[in-house]
Amino acid sequence: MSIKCIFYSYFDADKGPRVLYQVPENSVTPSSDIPSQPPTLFSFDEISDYIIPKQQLCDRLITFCRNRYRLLGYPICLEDDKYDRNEFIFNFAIVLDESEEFSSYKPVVKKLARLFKALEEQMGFLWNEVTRSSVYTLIEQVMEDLNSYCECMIPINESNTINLKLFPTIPPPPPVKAYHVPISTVRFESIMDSNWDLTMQRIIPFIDGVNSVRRISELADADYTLTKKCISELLYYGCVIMVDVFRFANIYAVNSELYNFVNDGATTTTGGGLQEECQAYISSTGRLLDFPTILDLYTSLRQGLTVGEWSLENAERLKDVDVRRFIQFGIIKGFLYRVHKYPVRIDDGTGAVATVGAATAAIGSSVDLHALAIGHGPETPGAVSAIGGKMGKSMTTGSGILMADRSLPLLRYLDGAHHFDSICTDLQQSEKDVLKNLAAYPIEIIDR
Amino acid sequence: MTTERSLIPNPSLVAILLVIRDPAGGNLVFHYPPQPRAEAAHNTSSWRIGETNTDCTSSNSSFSSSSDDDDEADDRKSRSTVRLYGGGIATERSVVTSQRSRSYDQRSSRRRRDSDHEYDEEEDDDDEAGEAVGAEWEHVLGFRHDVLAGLLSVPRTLAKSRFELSVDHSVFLGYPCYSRVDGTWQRKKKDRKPKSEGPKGEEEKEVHTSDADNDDEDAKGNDADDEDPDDVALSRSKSPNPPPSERKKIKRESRKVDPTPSKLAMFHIVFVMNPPQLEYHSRMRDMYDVAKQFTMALKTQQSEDDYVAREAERILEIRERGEKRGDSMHELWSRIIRESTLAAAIATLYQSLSASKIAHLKVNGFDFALQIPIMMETSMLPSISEPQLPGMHLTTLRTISATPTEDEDALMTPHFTLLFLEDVDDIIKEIVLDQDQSSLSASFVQFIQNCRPMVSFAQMLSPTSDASAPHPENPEYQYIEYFARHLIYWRKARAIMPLHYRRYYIVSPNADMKRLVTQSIVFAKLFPALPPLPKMLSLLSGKPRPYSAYIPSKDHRQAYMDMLAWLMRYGWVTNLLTFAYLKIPKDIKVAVRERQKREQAEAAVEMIQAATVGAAAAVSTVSNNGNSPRMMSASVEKSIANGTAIPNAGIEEEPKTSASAGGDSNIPNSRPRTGWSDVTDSSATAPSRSTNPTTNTPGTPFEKMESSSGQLEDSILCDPSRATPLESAWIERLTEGQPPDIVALFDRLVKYLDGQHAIECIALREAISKKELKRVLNAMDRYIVYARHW
Repeated sequence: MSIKCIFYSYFDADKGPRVLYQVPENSVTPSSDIPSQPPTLFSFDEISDYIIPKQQLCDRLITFCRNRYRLLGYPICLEDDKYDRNEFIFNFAIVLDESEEFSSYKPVVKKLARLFKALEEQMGFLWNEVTRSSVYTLIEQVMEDLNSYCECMIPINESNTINLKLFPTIPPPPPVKAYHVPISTVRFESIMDSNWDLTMQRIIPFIDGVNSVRRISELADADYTLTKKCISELLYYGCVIMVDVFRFANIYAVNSELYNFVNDGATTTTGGGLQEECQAYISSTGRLLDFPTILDLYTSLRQGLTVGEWSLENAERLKDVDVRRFIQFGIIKGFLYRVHKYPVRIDDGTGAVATVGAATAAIGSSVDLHALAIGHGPETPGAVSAIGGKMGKSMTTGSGILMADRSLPLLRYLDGAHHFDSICTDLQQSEKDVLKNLAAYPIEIIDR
Repeated sequence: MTTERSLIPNPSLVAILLVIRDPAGGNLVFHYPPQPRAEAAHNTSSWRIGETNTDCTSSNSSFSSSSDDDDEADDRKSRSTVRLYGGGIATERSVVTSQRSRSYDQRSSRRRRDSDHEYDEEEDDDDEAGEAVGAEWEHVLGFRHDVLAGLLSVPRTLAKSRFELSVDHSVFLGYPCYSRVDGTWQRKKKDRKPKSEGPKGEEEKEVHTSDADNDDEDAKGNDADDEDPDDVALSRSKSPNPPPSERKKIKRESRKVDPTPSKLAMFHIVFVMNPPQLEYHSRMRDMYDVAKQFTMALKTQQSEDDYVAREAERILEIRERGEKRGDSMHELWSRIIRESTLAAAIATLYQSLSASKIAHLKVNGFDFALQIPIMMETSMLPSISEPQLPGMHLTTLRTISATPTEDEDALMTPHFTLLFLEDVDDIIKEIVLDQDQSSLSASFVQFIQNCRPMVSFAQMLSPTSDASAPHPENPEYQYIEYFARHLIYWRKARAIMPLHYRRYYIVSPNADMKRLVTQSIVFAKLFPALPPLPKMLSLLSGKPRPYSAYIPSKDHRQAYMDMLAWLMRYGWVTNLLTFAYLKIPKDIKVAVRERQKREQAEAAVEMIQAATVGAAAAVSTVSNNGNSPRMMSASVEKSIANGTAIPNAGIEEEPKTSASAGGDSNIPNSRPRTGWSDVTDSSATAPSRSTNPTTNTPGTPFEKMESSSGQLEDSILCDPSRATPLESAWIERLTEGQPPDIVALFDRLVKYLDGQHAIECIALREAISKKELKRVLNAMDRYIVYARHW
């Protein structure tokens, strides 16, 4: 990624839009030495309307594509009696390849324009022919520094400095859920200092690839929302990656990415690295498994088979393997996926999903709930009971529904949209307890 | 940073503008929607982090803005996908749209009711935004009308190329079209030659001429990225055959036009967009395809009979009248859309594109469709930290798509079938309503009726023999493929591997669980006699079993297969396929090495002898006819081929040069050797020849074997189709001791054992019986690692 050209243009009262300085020379207008030679990038005259626009379009970021190049400009219009026609329009435009990701240049162009605007207002920097002559060197320096170092700091006078830096645009991090388990990709102890956010400092010791986000906030005694924000931040900068909560009751299976894992070693003569990485990562004793065995182990993980059962089946081959790391490696590299269990409450009559809680309207759900609690089908228009509070803990219809009260927070998770990981972390119960509480209801469990 | 193409549709379309330039100057004639919002509602605000933290200070602001609306963003994503990827609601809605677009077809003067209704909907919320009636349209997108017109009525030098201008967050994208320098829009004479009278010829001419026109001017212009307008899409109307009557009409009209200069100097359809920064390039590219196709279609009509000029004039007239009368913007816009077919087309295009739907357009009697294609299926399951695409079908099979691509496997195509994404009856009804009953449309309907998710195209043609593929040139089959692609283009169907009760189906890891509640109700209505949806999914959750295991009896089979088709349609289940990798065990490698060592040792001995003879021969007599060097080099090559298997190009290079040198010295006796060069040549290569076989050639493999002997271990052979000689030797060794027919078959099938070819497809692709396939795979079981996914 690099800047192809920076040029300074302005509106000349006599000659119209003019390019005064361009780096490199001859990029957008023919140089004065050889006027016959066409400019190397595109012709400024064709597109001058979009570089030196009407006054209404000044003070806005304008980009324009021409000849497979993209121009970014921020035209500035100054009004003063001293100028011909009482106004002075100028623009510092940066030219990039059209296909280039240009978002990081937008603020640079804007800042450059504002800086020269300030200089012009303070001391007539651009209008004065003497000071103006330094513009070429300045834009040359800016272009060179940004292309080489992605930043520049060029002093102009005591009070003005060109300070620019290109910041890459990073996509926003995915939503962090309570049941996600962060694994660090960096050594936090080596990069963290006392200036870091306090919550961040508190939670980082607990990011170990085992604790869920919820658990981290508990262990660190930190506010859950803040914990979530911190981890989201770490995720944004790629300092952590997310996996699921590992338990031996989990089910995993390979997905279509497996091919890339297998093929990795073959594509490069040096042996790829991914397979060696895997061998080293999963080993608990230092003895390395050969790759076909590893592949065989991964492919023998399948739907309907828990890790526990699988470990028993393959106990002999797994004796040098850290099963948690074995599974996590597959998840991190993306060729293994977690088969989640979704408990769904069934309506006895129709067999359709019985709904409750957040997914449906409050009234409807409470009717349904109530009917369920007193042992009727959902058709029974039972007395409407209000669910108070987010967890739906208070049932106000009175006696005989203690049992419902205890399982109530659970029931709203049974519409099929919540898997056990999510339920267990939300309710802070084990899967066994959850299942026990559900024993009274007709439940189907869907593995997905 | 590269911008990846996102799977989630986001047209990022804010408005479509029609700008013209005539003797009076540039003018913004029409824009739709009437009051576009600069920030489109469907834009993901969270992508804008890059904008907020841009001022070169720090990225701290991303801290709050990125995490705040996480859940909201998540919801939004899933909502939009729910809407787009099938489902009961989506089906209904698309039927509504297609009815709408039909109303545009039969429009002429009768479109009052529909469009009124539509614009009521559209503008209800717009009206709240601006109450200042009268000068409402003086500002568009925050620009003054005349400023915008000036900005977008580009000079001639910029015509016939991509126009892309952004002002702050609004991006203006288009393909400005100018008249010829003489003021006319007609094509040159040479392009006008009447090719044929039939409707077929007309279509070809249409496409041909617009292409020619395009190319012709592109050559003059300086824009290099002008790909031809996608004529497939252009000519793709709702049903495979536009009625011939209409085409004749076009033709007649075009004949009548006299080539007088048009008042219209330029027209420019501008698509205003605000794509998320990280998806900027891909969104713009998608829209540019549409923008250019639309512009080219209009240009064709403009050159036929001054269509754009007439429509622009009409719109301006209506606006003028409306302004005099003091109509509200709402009234005025619905009148414009009612009375101008071009305005109506722009409105349809905007509405369809911003809803990620297919726009069915008709301008000046020309019938065509435009869309930004959406993904119907994906092979990759998003990880927990990637945008989720719930409900999207998962498969690695490269089935057929709307237009033939290089990615497709022509040998497999006949063995796929269609899975309709809507009710078949509704699709047929739509076609019948849409078209006059011509013969093609009748066979189209017949195809739809005959198409079953259990029956492949090949089986449709010849129901008796299920393994033989039809010849690709078979006209009947070509129709099938054409119809199938047509239905896929219109998002009515998706190509799948035919459903079979012996195959394995699992709950798709990408199933949209949020829709379970509503879909279980629909399911219960559709299949009252079968177990309810949650129960079915729960059954399919366990260890994968053939689908037949869930079917209680043979009588239930049809009902269960229908249910399976339904489950596939909504992405609840996916076909579990089997992939195989070839494992080379250590003992095979050892055996091959042993044999090679032996052979190499023999070869080396032989070569040393030969080489000494050869070198002696080459050096000793200049006039030697060179027989022995030739023999020698042949033996070198033989030894190489025999499996010294040096995967090192440099070493292989050596014997080849020597071989050519040997050939050189093999010049017949009769021709006397003249220059130095021959002598020096052969003598120069001779030492290398003599040293080469002894030290270099056999040396390297020996060394390699020796050094790696400690770690000779089982391995997976990734790409058997491109095996190195050593790997080939291993593969050959695998079948040792097997009956010859197995060996022959295995040789044929080994290329599929690369983890990328579903075993389920092999028998069909190679036209061998499943039994044979099974026999081979069983025989070679020890060397195959199976993996099962979609």
